[in-house]
Amino acid sequence: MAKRITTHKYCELPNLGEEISFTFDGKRIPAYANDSITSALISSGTSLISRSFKYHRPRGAYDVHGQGHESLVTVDHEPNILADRIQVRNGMVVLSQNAWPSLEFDLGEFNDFLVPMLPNGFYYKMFHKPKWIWPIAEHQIRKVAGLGKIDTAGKNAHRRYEKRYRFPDVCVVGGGPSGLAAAQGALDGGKQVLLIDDNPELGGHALHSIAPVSNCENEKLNGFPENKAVQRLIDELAAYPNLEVMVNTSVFGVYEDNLIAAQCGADLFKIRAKSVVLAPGATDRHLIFENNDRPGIMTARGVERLIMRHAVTPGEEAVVVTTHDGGFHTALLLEGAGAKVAAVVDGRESGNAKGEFEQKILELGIPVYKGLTAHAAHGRKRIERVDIGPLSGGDAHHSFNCDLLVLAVGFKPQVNLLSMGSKRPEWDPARQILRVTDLPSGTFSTGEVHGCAGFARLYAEGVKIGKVATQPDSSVSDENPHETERNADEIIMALPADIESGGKHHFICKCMDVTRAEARASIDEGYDQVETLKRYSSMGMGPCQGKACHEAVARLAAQDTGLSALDAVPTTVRPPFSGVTFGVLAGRAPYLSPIRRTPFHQCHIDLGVKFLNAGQWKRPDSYTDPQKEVGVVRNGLGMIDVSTLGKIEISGPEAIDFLQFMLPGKYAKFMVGRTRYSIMVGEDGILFEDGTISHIEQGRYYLTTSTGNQDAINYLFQWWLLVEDFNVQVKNLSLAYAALNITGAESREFLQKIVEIDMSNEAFPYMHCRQASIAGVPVSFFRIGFTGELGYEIHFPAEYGESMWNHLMSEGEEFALNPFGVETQRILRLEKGHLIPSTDTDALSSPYEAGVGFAIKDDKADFIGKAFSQNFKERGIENKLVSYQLEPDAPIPEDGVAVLEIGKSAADVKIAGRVTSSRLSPTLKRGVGLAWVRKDMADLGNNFTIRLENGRDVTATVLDHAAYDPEGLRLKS
Amino acid sequence: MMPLSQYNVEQKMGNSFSHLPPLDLCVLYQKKTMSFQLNCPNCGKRAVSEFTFKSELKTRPAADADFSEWTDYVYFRENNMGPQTEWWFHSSGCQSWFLVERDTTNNTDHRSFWYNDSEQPDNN
Ligand SMILES: [Zn+2]
Repeated sequence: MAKRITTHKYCELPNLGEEISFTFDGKRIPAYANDSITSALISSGTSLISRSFKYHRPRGAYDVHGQGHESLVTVDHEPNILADRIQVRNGMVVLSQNAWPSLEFDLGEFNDFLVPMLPNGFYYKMFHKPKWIWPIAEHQIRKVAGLGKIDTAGKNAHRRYEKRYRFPDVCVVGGGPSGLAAAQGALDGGKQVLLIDDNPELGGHALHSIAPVSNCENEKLNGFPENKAVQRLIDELAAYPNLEVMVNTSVFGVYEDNLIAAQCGADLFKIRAKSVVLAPGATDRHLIFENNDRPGIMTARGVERLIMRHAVTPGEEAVVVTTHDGGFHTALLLEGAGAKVAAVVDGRESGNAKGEFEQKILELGIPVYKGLTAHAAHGRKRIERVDIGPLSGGDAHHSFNCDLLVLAVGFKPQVNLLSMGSKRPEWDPARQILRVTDLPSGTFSTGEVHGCAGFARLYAEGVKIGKVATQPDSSVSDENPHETERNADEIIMALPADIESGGKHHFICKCMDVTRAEARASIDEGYDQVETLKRYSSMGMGPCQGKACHEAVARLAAQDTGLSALDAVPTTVRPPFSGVTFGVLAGRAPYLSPIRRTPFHQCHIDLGVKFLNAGQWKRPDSYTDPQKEVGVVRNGLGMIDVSTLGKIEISGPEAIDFLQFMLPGKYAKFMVGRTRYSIMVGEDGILFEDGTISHIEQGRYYLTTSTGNQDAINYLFQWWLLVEDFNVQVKNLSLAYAALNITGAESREFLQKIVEIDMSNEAFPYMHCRQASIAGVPVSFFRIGFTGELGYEIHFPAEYGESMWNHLMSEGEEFALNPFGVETQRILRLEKGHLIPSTDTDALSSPYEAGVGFAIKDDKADFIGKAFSQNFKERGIENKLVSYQLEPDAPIPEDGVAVLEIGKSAADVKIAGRVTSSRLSPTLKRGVGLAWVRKDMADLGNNFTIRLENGRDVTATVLDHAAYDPEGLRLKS
Repeated sequence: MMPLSQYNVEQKMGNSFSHLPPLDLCVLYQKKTMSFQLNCPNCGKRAVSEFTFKSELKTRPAADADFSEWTDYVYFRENNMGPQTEWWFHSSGCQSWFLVERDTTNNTDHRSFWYNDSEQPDNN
């Protein structure tokens, strides 16, 4: 069994911190503050941490570094957390995942005995036909083949997600010996350096190595064991003021132009560096043999980490399978911690020169077997015995009882971050690893990711690359720093990717439970390209996203399709490199966008408004019931906040020429004091906006646009000013002015009471504008009518917002002035049949079809969209936007439902259009709306059918223009 | 004729383009997905997410030009693989329009300049 140790023969043990405890599936687990969840679980004798995805096989700690899926747990309600990477907190509640009813007794493990019945592509084949079965099957499959449960109710979503930014000269990713050295090289070059590591502390694998450092360029480090030397190096770095260090931070993406995305807790860091040095290191290579996924099989670095960082021996009786001296180092650490090392099984032949640690193991009398490797593991929830035999497979030679099998069969560079610049890794036969060379300009890499090994060499190469990185434009190949001299014994020959030892449980991809036999079956079925093989068998598509298995997948795919190792091309690697929570990507709720409030915001709140979000704006939806608020306007006096309108002032000697060009109307005889309805069309002739244009004083014009296009239209005007060179000034006054619409039959009487000018219909007719003042505040008046009642829009400096509102409300008391909201206005405008561009029109709406062709005067010289406007006119119309009403008591269609043409039989149905806006009119007591229908259905009085979402049909009647006051008598009175 | 069960999907779709803003505004609502840095002649290098792409630089046809010339102007794009000159707008910055000569295969090498400093392009 695993246990916590208090002394070690060959090294000092770390400070474990204070004693705490947490629970795992309800069981109390004692721990120390510096434990990870995994190290605490192991020290308490828990070897079973999770269940596998498909076959629910027992899984335990593997690399103790979160590269695989084995340690996925739910922590304090947050699912899919890697236990390897989380430091324990007192009272933490940890739950296992993907097991039912319990981790120890999982009914899903039944799947494991059904292996032959769950072949690759099983889901595709089984549920392919009939079509209707898939949704049902998928639901069942998702229930059993799942990861943790997401807290969809958000009861525990208390984290605040932030986005943060950094702009270092050099960003070094990876805090092992080479990353530390690269940071030092760049710092010595006078650069600002950001050093990132995903562990709680810097130092990388050197933290758990007791190999002595010699021949290091940095002479102060020589003579110390690596774990001490790296600490000295970290201390040296601490003295540089230009260094920022971020630990517990995972870099999950490297993007164009040296943009690095990293997650630290609930923070997303966006780092833009002048140069990037990637020093992600390497992990222990996988070895694939029968039952290679059993708990108790661990990587050498995982075991070393447990001993050296957490004072835990993960087993009592160990067998070490290795191909390099590092495996003997692990064996020595185990022996020093009091574990029995039953055997070290070395894949190399006996002729090789013996390394330093192999010598020590031999001196200790531990049996060493040469030229052999692991063939099969026995035991279910914990390994009990291992068979060893020749590399070529076949029959096993020996069998050892053990509760720990350590794999030290070479290193697999973490090339993922290097290949995100769309470079695929290639097999380097000389170094026996997958490598990525030829990085984008400004991106450099160093260390074990290129097969470099040994503290002194890692340091030398790191410093060199750090210095190169101080010149972002320089190129590594100029100096060839990755070609550090290496000894023959430094190259670790790769074992066969799979040991052909019989049995059906050779797991290539442990996340998705894909075995060698299944991969072969898929290849036989024709999925013999690595990309299709991956998709069909789902290898590399699990939680680790191929980090653990991509090398094995590539090598075996090449081998099984008869290619050489050189053709072992892994699948494309894309961000994210590690799991990223959605909250981190989404940022602070609701979103990282400003909220815009009108000058009357507080007035609305005081009146108990219900707000609606219009883009970034908060606008009043309604204050009471919109259906009742309609009555306020129709029968009395209403006021609505329209400050969100776009407001653009155009002036200058060529202002009129500019308007003639920008707008499709004619403005040659546009007199001061007049206001006109205007539409805007694009060069494609499509209607995209409408508003009013007013001639305020000689040569000064005022254009209003809709809320949504407030900014966009201003930008567009700026662009046209630039390319067409008019002598004109365009001023965006959108935020400088507040605006209100005061409307209702009594609006004139009310305003006449508070303004000095003559408001009579003769002095101030419909579609005119005037300048006046209210309570000393200068105000522009526009007599227009979106609501269909007599009405005035007033614009005045925004800073008078609240006082003006309060003044109007108190002066309006005797007229029963009441505010109304946007939803109310939508009903009012539909009663009048007014369209809203982009709500009732789309990217194919010609103004002629939308019924606003009257606003286009295409006989003038040139204007935006002239050619297409003429073309639309010539072509005539196919569809038409019509105003319609329903029978009283007919149900109200939802916005967006279809208009149908029903033929002779009920089944003979064609879509002939759609409803764009639909509301119940409280004034007319029936449904009204706007709909696109075919031209031949658009005649006045024609009936057409609307199908509701519930499948019911209602009959609508086409109106001339408006359901309410079609002659516009109230408007113009 | 279609089975009624499909109505809910298709009636909601209506006109299949209805989810798009009109053409001229498309350029101002574009999604930003790349990560390179663009050089604003006013502000210097900034993340491309601060900018809005409008279109390739094109010459507007004369008002009385042939309609097919207008169709080309409005609907056709060169989509060069290689260098092209484009309109960009620093929407989340100084709000200037400017031109960028960009190699579309390699975003990082580009040249930015003001429209008024550019040579008027050939009428192609
Ligand atoms: Zn700028």
